[in-house]
Amino acid sequence: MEMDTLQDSMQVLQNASTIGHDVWFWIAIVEFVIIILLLFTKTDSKKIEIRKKVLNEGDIDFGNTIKSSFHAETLYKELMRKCHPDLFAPDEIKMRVANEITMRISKNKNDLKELEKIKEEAINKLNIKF
Amino acid sequence: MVEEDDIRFENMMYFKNILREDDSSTESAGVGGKEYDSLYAELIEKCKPSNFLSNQNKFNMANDIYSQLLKISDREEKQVLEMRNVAIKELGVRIVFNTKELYGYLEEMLSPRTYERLQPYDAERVRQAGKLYFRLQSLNKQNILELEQLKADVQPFIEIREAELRREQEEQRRRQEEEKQKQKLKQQEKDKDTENVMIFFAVLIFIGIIIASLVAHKII
Amino acid sequence: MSVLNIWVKILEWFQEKRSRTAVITGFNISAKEAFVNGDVPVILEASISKGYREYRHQFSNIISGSGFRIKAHSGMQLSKKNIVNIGEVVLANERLVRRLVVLGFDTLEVHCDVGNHGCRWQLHDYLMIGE
Repeated sequence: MEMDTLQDSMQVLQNASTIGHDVWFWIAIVEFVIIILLLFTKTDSKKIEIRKKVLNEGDIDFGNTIKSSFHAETLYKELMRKCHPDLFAPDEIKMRVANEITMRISKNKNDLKELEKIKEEAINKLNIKF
Repeated sequence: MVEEDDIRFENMMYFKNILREDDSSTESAGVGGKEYDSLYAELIEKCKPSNFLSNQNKFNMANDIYSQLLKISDREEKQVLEMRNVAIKELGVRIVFNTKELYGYLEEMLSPRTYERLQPYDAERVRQAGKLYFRLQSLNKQNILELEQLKADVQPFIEIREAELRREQEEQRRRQEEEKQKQKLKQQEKDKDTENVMIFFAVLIFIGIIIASLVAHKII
Repeated sequence: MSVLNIWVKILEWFQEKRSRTAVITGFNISAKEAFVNGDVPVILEASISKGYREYRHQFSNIISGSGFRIKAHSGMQLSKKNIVNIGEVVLANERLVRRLVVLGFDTLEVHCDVGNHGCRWQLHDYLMIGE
């Protein structure tokens, strides 16, 4: 009887140890596969450089982008109408200023922040009322 | 994070904004060279009262037209077209928007050379195209009203050609789709092959590791 | 192929994952703030999607998704003009486009929560390299 229990307990121990080996065995296979994959894929140093450069440019103003989606077009049209150089004829100085302002307006068509700055400039320099 | 595509997306083509940087130049109404991204934008610029200071009648007319333009939006196509017609007749304004494209379109549709190349050869059709092409040449290229009148007159003639072009385009599309499908099948076969190769190597490695562990356990 | 390369690749993977999450969460937080403040009539929500296969480029992240999808929660069908407007404003922001491309995005998709239509753009076309 004692021998039987001893034998049973030995078998249990053996099973336990093989189960332990199995888990580590599978983990080892997975790690091995990952290592093989990483070893054989090439690293592109140029890509890494470009990525670093772009990510270090600083934060992006998402708020402005989102607001511009809904309000930039209206403001752009209003500014283009009111700042057209022909409206300031025959004052050449004002026409030149209006020219520069309309160029900046078309450049920043989709940027609400810039358009608002340009609007303030237009009010100050060209005496336009909005 | 990756969503399933149950939405039909339209592929938007890349195009540069036609409005150039020097849009704010002081060209007077009727002088060409600029491009506009809408008929409304062109009318707003060319019908400004300040463009007609030398002529009292035109100045008053421009005033009326301009104030009516400011009341409507660029989306109201019919009203914008009416304003355009009035501006051309009363103010003598030359409209650039769409004029060049319309002239180009009529030239393409009425050129006798197009019909000479068609099979089977239709002499009557070639002769008719020649007449209409001569009429197009005699018109003012920059007067959109005349071009539109001609287009309305030759519409039955153009429609036949348009139907032919549509048929040709459909055939081309069918051929392209067939080619795409063939390529897809080829790609699928290639993918299957690479999958099979990967499975083969994975199994080999697995067997190798098992044998190694069995050897380590002194079973083999 | 050295061990150093493996380490660099692992670090790069984690950094890219973090940066992508930062862009998405940054956009969503700003969109919610703008809506709460009454600056915009609609909540925009960014997420990652599979992307469009034909728009792929060398940075495209095929595994985690290469589509930058913006959903407009408006409760009603937005017009195509509104959808195109949202897309064009995003594309006009050069820095944002460069960042998206470098983080593995190749497609910008915009749609609303009603209906199943939307628009998509190839981000690579809007990089404006050299302009």
